[in-house]
Amino acid sequence: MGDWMTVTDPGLSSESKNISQNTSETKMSPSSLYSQQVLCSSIPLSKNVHSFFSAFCTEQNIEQSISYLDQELTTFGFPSLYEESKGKETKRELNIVAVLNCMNELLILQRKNLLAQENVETQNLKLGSDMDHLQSCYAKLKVQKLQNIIASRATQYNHDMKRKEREYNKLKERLHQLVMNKKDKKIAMEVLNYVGRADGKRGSWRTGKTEARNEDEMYKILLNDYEYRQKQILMENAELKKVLQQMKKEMISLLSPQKQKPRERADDGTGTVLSDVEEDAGELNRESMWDLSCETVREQLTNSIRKQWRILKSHVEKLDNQVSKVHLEGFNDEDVISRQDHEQETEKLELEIQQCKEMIKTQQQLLQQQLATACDDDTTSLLRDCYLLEEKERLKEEWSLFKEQKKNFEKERRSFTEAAIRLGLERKAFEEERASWLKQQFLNMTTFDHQNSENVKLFSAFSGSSDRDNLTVHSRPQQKKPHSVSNGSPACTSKLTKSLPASPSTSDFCQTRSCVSEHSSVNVLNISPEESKPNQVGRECTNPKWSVASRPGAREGCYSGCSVTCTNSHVEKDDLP
Amino acid sequence: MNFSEVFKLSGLLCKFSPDGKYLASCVQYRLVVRDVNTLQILQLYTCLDQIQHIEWSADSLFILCAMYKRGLVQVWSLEQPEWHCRIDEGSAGLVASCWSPDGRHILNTTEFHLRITVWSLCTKSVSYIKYPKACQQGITFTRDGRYMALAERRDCKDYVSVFVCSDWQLLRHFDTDTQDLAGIEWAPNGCVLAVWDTCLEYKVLLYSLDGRLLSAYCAYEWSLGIKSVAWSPSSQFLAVGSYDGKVRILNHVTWKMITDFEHPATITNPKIVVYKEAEKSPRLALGSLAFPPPRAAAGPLASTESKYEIASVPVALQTLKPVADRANPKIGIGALAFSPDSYFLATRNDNVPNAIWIWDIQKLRLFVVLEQLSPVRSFQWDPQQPRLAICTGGSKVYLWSPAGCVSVQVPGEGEHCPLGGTLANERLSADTHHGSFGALSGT
Repeated sequence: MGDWMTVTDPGLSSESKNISQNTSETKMSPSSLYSQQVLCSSIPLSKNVHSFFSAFCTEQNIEQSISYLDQELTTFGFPSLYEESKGKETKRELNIVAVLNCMNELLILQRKNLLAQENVETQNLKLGSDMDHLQSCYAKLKVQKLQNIIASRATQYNHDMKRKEREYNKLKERLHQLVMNKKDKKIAMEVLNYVGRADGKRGSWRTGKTEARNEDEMYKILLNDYEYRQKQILMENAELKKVLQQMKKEMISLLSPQKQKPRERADDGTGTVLSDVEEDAGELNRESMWDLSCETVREQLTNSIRKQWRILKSHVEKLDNQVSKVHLEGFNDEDVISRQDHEQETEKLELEIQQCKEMIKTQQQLLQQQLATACDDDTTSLLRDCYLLEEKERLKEEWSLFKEQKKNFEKERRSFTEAAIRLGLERKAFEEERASWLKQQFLNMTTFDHQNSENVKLFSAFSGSSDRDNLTVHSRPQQKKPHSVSNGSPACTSKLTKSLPASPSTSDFCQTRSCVSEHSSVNVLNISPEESKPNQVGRECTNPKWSVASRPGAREGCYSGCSVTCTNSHVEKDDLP
Repeated sequence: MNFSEVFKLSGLLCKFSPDGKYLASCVQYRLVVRDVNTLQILQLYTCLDQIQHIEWSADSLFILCAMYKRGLVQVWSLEQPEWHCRIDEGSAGLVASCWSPDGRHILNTTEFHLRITVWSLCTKSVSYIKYPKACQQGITFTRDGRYMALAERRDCKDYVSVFVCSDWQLLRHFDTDTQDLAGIEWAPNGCVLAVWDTCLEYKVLLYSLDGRLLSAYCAYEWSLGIKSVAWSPSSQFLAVGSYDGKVRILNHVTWKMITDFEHPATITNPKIVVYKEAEKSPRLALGSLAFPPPRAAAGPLASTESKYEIASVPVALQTLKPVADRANPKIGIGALAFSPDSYFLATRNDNVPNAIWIWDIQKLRLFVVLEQLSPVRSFQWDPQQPRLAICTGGSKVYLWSPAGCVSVQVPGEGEHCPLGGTLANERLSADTHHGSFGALSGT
């Protein structure tokens, strides 16, 4: 069928395309029939083939193609395509029925061929795999064969060796006999004197007893060794058991906090764990009592450890799944924050921390700068005391004032003492005068009556005062009682004269008494705030009552004007008897 | 480190006494005993023939000198120099001789391993043990000297006999499930006996003192098996070195492997310290020398000084390609030794002959690797502290301790170079504690 290829007409290529398009239709137009060609069965039908189909038969060579096909088909045994001819000359008509039949036959043939091809291919594959298998088997067999060879050779070798050895042994026996028989005198030991045994004991005969003893010793040695090893192993066991127990406890404690959280995926695992925990707690108590190596205890321990480990494993797997799930799917679970967000949060927090730290650092620096700036001594000293400056100034002023006052007080004190001395002298003189006057009076008593009353008054006053002096002298310590006042300055002076050598408290008394409101505005610096009420003190003093300022602190402020008040003190005549 | 002057030695026979006071050495047919501190000659004994083997008795009172060619064993006393003893095996021949732990019996192995004769120095009795096995390590004594285990072979089967050393009574006799027993060794606690098979079959059997089989261990089949075995001093571990380049550690509780140590040619873990020996050419050795310089001036064939450098990880070690067809190939763990405190294990992989691997047993991992310039011939731990001495056949001795490592030049003449070493117990004297080291040179 190869010749039809040359019949192709290149000019008809465009028509062939049309025809090939027509072939897709089911219409059985003659042209479409002719364009279909059956090529070799192995070439599959494709678009390119259509060009070949049209290449064989064209509009021009229909008759020739029919005749050719008829020839070919008849040689293959198909019935002729032509109708039975009536005569030789007439043109034979195409027998359509025959054509269709032939086509059908050809199709059937094609299908059969394809099937056959498939079968052949599968068979080919099978044979190939069988071949491989057999080859490997062959290799294995070869190895085995070689091994068998080696084994057989080995046995042969052994057998030969044994045979040779037997021979050799025979020779040895023979030789041995010869040697022994000869009783060669040369075989001897020559020794100067026998050496004592290493352990110093005598040698013993070999008897059944010694044999038994040897056996015993041997067994003793073995037993000792076994016991020692068993001890070691027991110790190791105990240690390992401890470790396991600890592990179990830790695992339980590790898993138990998780159980309290209600997990969404409540598997059977969690349920069993709770029960396990209870069980294990009981087990622990029991096991601590049995510290033996019983089979049951051992099994219990291993089983419980295995259980805990399984639970732990499943828990960890769960966590892993969660993590991976979230990582893949994003915000599915509200409890779980996605890793990205978590990371972002942590980053933010870290930034904040950093910033805060920096701020703290800068503040610290500034503070230190402030404190540690290098400046002059004066300024530093000034600065150091700047807070108290005002008060210090005030204090200074007051201090200077106080000093002045102190000076003044000293002056006045001196003057007072001088005055007191003077007064004393004057008093003395006055007393003398009085005495002389009294004498005179006494002498003149009968002459002058109208003077009695005055004199008596005076006398009594003086006597009273002198008595009162005594009284007051004694009652001076009781400063709080208001004393009746003595008349005038002489009483005062007498008191003073008596008071001065007597006790300082009397002078204080007087002074406190006579502290005047003249200096009522004195600020007493040393007095505590509750004590410093100079105005009151002053007022008390100017009262006709001789109430005394009980505060010792007030004394100092009341130095001034003592003597003046003394002389100016009013006389209460009420108390005069 | 101080070195004494060199004294002549023949046949690598130089042994310290067990109490650390004396040093015995051989020169041809003379036995010289020196004091350890002063190295003055204390005793001089003359034997009848060239000495092949010397051994101190356990109480340091006697020395045996074995002359295999003549079949003679002579025993000398230190206390009584005039005392003498001579054992003549005559036509039986002699291939090996050793002391019993009590220091009063001598065990001679006759030619062809026909028998073992037990000669007593206390009595005139002689005992014979038949069918001893000719293997790498056929006799082993417990540390306390009570029992002796002997490998035997009768009728093509292996047996082990346990004797009581005090009266040589046979305590136990049992067969072992081995093809061709290669060695036996007591655990330091004296209760377990390790038995291992030939290299054609990987098998380690553990027997209790009374002959019961406790456990059998087999790591793999078909390939070459066990090359070396060592107990840890605490009896807790049994290290098994094999031809596959691994050391397997068995534990004493279950007798199962707890870990295996590989010996790869490349070290990549940065936690491991790798010390590489590097040569220092004498001219450039200006300035501070990190390690004590040699006392004696170097001879005409000036062996160059060397020092250790810490190599940075990853480190590739020198490997040796073994010849495929020969027997006893140079692969696998050829030497194993635990430190006296059981903290460290030193191994040598014959594939990587220049290196010593030191493993930390507490952490069960590699600790330090020391790579020398030439193949390591032997190494030994200090009997009292974790200090390892290594010699490679050069003129230097190498010492390693957890604090660091040092390479020391042994003063010697020209071609003499250390081939082996023995370590003495540390001697406690009034003033000093020092460990002595004897470096043996071959002429």
